Amino acid sequence: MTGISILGVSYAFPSTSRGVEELALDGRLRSEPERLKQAGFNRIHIAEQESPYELGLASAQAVLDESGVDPDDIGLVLYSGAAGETAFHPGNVTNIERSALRTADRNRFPATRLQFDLGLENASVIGVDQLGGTNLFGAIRVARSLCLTEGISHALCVSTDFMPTDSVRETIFTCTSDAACSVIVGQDRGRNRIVASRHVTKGFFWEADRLRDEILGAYFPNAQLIIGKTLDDAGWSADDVDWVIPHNVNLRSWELVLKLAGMRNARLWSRNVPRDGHTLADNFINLRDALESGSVRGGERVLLFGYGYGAHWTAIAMEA
Amino acid sequence: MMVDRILITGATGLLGGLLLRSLSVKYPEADILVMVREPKRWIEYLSGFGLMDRRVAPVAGDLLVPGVGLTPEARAALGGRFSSIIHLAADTCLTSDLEQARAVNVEGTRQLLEATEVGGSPFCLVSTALVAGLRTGRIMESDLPSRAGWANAHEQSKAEAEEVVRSSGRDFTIMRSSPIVCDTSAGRVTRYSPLFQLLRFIHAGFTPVLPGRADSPVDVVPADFVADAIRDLAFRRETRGATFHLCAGEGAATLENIIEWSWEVWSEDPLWRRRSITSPVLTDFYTYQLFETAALETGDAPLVRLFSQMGGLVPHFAHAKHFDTSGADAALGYRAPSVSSYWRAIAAEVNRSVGTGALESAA
Repeated sequence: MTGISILGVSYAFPSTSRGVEELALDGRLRSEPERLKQAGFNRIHIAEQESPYELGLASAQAVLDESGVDPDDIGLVLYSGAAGETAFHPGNVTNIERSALRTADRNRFPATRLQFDLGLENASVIGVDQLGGTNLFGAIRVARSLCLTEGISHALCVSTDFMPTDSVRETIFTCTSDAACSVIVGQDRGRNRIVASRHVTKGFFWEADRLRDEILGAYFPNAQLIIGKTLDDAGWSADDVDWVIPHNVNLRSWELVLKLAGMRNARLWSRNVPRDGHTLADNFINLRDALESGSVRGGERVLLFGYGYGAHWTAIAMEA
Repeated sequence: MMVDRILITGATGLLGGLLLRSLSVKYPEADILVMVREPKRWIEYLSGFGLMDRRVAPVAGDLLVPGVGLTPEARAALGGRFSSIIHLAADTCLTSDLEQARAVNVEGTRQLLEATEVGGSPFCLVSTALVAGLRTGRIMESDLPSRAGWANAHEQSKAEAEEVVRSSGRDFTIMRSSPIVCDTSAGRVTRYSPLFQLLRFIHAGFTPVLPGRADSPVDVVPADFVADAIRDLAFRRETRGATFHLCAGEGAATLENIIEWSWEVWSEDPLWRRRSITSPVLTDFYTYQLFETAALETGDAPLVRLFSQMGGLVPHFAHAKHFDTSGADAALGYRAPSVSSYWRAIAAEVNRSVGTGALESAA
């Protein structure tokens, strides 16, 4: 086989989690907890002790261990997430960010440290950024392409997604967790083959907060568009999709996306929405759990769709 | 028929103003009485409208008040017979609740009928074609209003007003207009209709989903056509007891048409084109409602307000209907201009109005 597959996924959540009621009491939600529960959310994970780097390293080590890939076979590391000094500190990263920008601390690089700490001596390192919730999709897209064009056998994609500890945790009726997730992409082993992937960027929406309503308006037709193109590239019809692995946003929006995309037979794997909330890597966290739980079985057709502020719409069609 | 005395309500609206002008031209010798709430402001309005004509006189009347609130002088002015009473005044707001809409549209009509009963003058009710409500298919002019429900209280109250007129025992003519989308057959727009507002939201990218199919009819008319049609139907004996559709009919557009034509025009503006706004996805009503709910739950206050306004309009796209206009066509000898003949001008006006920040002020 000549395709590229997802060979392993592992993730790490911080040790602390909070229910939506607690978050509301702390003033860290915009909506009433009951409304967020109706949208599917119950708890999220908040890093109070761990740094982004620690969780990123833990998830990367885990995926290497679980997949059985020899570290010497990793030819590429793609890192997306906290940069500079902010990657190494728990707590209020906003303050650190300011000081880090003023000092030489900004010249400390979590991506290359990962290569060093994991002993990936044959890997080159690339940072992937500016893609919001589609950072990990973007990393996998680049990894797949370089595997195909440069003969790299395995690429490690690492995402660390942290918000300032005391920040508001809700965006447009979606609650966000801190998390790290690592994915190994490599030459096909017969499972989890990436059949197609697509990504569209609409730069008009670069100001996410100011254009909130416009983004809400653009989200659905562009979701329909990118899903349709991905399915076309895969040679699938909408009815061929067995599972949709979501990003963990408001579940009501998913009902609409499935309807608009015409995926009448697809089941939405939404188990993690109430217990983990949204993270920038949630599609892949969900993919791991859906595969591990036996929900998604070998040979089934899976669609991952994600959206990232900036604004980006992206999808992967994968044969499990 | 000799036309020498006319009473009009709702003359201060867009349609009323155009009708007044049209009547003044066609019947220069007729005395026209306009019922307004504040006669003092009428003079100001009339001069603004370029109709400083001594034969157009105001009479104080308020449809929300029993007996239309007529003073003895006003009651005297309304005595005698009119060539026709043209009742345009209405609550046309799509977000009014049923009580508000009924107060003006049903009770107001009843009050006006009673206040003018002495003269027994012919009564023309200007209604809406959307009294067909959520019916689908071909709607004939002789069809009574919907039993399939309505998209908003305005339609329901106008349907009830028709019943009031029909059962009044007066000579009547009912003229049901399609939604007015522009002032003139050239597509000039000075007042923003609900459909125009919807176009502005689509232009701004706020309306990614619309209920309906590509071939769902969009039947709209310019105000000048409606004004002329009222003028030409209101005074004829053979129209008594009849109902007419003042609609585009065969000249209606489709949802696909109006989106395509609008995109053609808007795409000529490089600034708009760079926004990469995707044309609305046409879908079933249930799916549209999912989006509407999402927008109402998650949107900022202006977006919520905009969607609330649209709630009374968009269900019609999902309840496709074709308005038969054969009676009006025969009686008038002309038809409404086809929507295709002026839609691009409307789309251009949408682009201009949003470009000047009018959307923010509307929101």
